[in-house]
Amino acid sequence: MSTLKYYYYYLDSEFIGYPAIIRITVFLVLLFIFIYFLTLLRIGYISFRLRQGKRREQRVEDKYGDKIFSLLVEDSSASVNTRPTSEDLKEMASLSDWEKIIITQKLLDLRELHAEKFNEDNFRTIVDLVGLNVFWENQLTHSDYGTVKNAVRKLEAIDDKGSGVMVRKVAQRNNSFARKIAKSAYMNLSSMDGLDYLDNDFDRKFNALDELRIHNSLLKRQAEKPLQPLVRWVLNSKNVQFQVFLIKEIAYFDQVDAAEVLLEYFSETYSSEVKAEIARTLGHLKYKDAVQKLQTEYHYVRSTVQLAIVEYMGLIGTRKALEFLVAEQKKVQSSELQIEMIRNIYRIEGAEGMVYKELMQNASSDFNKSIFNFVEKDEQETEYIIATSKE
Amino acid sequence: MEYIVYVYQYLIFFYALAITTIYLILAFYAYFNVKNTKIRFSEVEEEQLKRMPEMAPAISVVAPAFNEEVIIIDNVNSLLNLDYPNFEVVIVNDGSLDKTLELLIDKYDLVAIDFPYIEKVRCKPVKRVLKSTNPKYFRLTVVDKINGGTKADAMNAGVNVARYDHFINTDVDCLLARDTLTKIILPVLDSSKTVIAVGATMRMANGCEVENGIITRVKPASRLIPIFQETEYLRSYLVAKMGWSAFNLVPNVSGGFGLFDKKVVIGAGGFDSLSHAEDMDMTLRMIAYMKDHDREYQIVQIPDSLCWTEGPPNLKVLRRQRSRWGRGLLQIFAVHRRFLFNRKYGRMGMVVLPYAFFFEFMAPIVEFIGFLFLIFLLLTNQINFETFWLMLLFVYLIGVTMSIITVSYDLAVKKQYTSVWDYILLVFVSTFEAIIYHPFVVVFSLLGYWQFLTRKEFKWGAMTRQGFTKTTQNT
Repeated sequence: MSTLKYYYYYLDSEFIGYPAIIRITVFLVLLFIFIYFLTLLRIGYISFRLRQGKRREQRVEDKYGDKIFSLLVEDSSASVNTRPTSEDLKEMASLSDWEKIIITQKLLDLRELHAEKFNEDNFRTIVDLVGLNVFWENQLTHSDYGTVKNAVRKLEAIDDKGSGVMVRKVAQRNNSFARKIAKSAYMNLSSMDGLDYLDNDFDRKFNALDELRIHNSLLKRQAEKPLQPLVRWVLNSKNVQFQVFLIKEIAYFDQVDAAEVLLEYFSETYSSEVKAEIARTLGHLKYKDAVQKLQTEYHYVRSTVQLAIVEYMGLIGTRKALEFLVAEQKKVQSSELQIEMIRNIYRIEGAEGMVYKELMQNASSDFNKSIFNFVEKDEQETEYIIATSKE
Repeated sequence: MEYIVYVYQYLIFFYALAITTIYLILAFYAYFNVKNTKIRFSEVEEEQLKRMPEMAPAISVVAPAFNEEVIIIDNVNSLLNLDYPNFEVVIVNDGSLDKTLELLIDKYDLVAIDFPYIEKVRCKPVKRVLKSTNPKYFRLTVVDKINGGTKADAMNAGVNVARYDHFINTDVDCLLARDTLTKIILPVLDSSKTVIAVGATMRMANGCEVENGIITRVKPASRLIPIFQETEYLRSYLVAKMGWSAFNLVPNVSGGFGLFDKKVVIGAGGFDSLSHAEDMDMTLRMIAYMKDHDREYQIVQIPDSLCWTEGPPNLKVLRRQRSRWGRGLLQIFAVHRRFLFNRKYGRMGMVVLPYAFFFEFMAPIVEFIGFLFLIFLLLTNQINFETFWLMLLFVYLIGVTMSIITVSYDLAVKKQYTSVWDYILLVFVSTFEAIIYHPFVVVFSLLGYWQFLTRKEFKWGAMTRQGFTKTTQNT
């Protein structure tokens, strides 16, 4: 500090008597030179760290790679996958932090690459013996959110249900990013009811990325046992986006028991987004009892809800639904709605349907005629996409 | 006269001081914004989007093409190879006179289809819409229209045909990274406000190795002009726009690459086909639209390099590009002068546009007058050389320091170049930017202003293409 002061006073004395403008400029020039060389050092440091990271990975691979592979991947030539003991892993007893980070990633990569031959029991044993879950749980208390996020992600990937309690503590932080990552991880790790965050709309700053995370959690839970009815969270939520998301999930997970309740809620809610999503979901659930009600409501709702009701009719495919679409198609003013009506008539009847053919023959303008060919081609393409994605 | 000299010197100094302060603030906030973005969005979220297509919002990629026979197939291949579950590619053939359309038809087995075209935003008539008979190319739609004279007109046709709620506005001379769509959509998802546009970093493809429309190796160009532009572009994206993004004040989402909310674009009237800076014009009108409807919005900039473009390889093409940018910038202030210092438009009117006016539009004028002033002082023996060299060093260091900061941010985001010496090359070349490259940029910008003021008839014009296949050739 005294050195800095010395140089400051020296410079100050050199420029005594000069106008302020000169002194400011000298200061700025020195500042820029300082920033320049500091940044040059930073570039050197970043490239050093990148190279160091690669070298460390190689070192871990050379030292432990074969052993880990032989223990975790079944049918490997090295061994018959015996359960490892602490004696087997004694060289991994006192790993440094960076080694633990790299080994964790190595284990997870092996699990992903060799999913069918992966020895899950040995994986758990190695994680315990090397102390990886304890290491990552300690990382959760770090002040840097990047480190915390990485730790939460690793614990979630390791999938040790015992870590759920530690992860839950992170969910109480003020930082919304760390909080939400922890909540979604807890939903996957919790051995108890991990869906209790849904009671409070998941998070006060709920957004579409949280939908992705929750959907991921629900998929995992559904794979283990049937999901609880999601409709109760729809009814108790005040967040429209959250409600819309859950209603979509009801359709995705085919919770047909929710249909009646959703239809009742359609009349109660003021939100057009919620109404629209309910209509679509009832269509996906094939709930035919909603036809009459939705036909009545059609004329009093916004265009977004009308579009959804049209989609509902196409998915239901009953005679009444078809008659409704044909009748409304003649009166519709919006081009977009007209296209959707014809699309859904096609979905019900197909290209050879009598009603569809009659409508096509009676199409008055070039625009109206083009809709039919376009809809057929588009629907064929959609079927192709669905078929190829299933493969 | 002495008084004028005195006042002018101080004005120039405070102008430079203001630029310095703004750039330092932007660099400071950009650092944290880059860091936070890297933490927020990672491969986990991208993998989830790909693994769960039912949750991935569908995106339309719209790219106009005018006389692009050299690179059209490479570009379309690049777009069709994007790694994302739900997207379509809409190429707008804007009345090309060369073989652009024929090449597309041959390569992708295109046929004209019946298409219920609804003109949501105004553009020149669309002649036909083509789709492929080969199911492999189901994502591709080609719009054949009458030439509208500008990219904006072609973009509007693309917007009219695009079927999804978000679209990418890109150029046919751009190659997109395979993970572009997963990266660009994440800020839209992770926001409680409506994200009306997202920008990302664009770089020069000159020098990169390209195979079948995919960049296999990123390298700086071997020619000077594109290398200067590489640093210039990175400075604009990684320091300036990332800094502005921290305040939700991004002034412009580049027309070369950006994600837009289609409904807002349509609500704002679409791209202005008379504009020569349709990107900034569109950004401003979208903001105005949201303000007029009292809706909260966000414009986000992400630091990832997602788009590579073929930059002007020589001065002749650079002149055409920069004079167009100059015309476009002056046109912005002529057309949107009502936003300037208008409190109704919030920070756009009170911060972003005044900044753009004083420090982007006025900068070439100030520099040119400064140069003339310097000549005058030299001829009248009024130069204090000590002060002169100090001031020159100060101004020179602004550019050089910002350039090296930019390079460090780029390396921190992701190591694009294989060798760190490529980064050192950028740093080295940037030391000559102020002497060799920047004067041309000033002159060409002023030329653009002059062209706009004298109302010359302009056409979009053809970029002189080198092509991408194998190594992008540096002529």
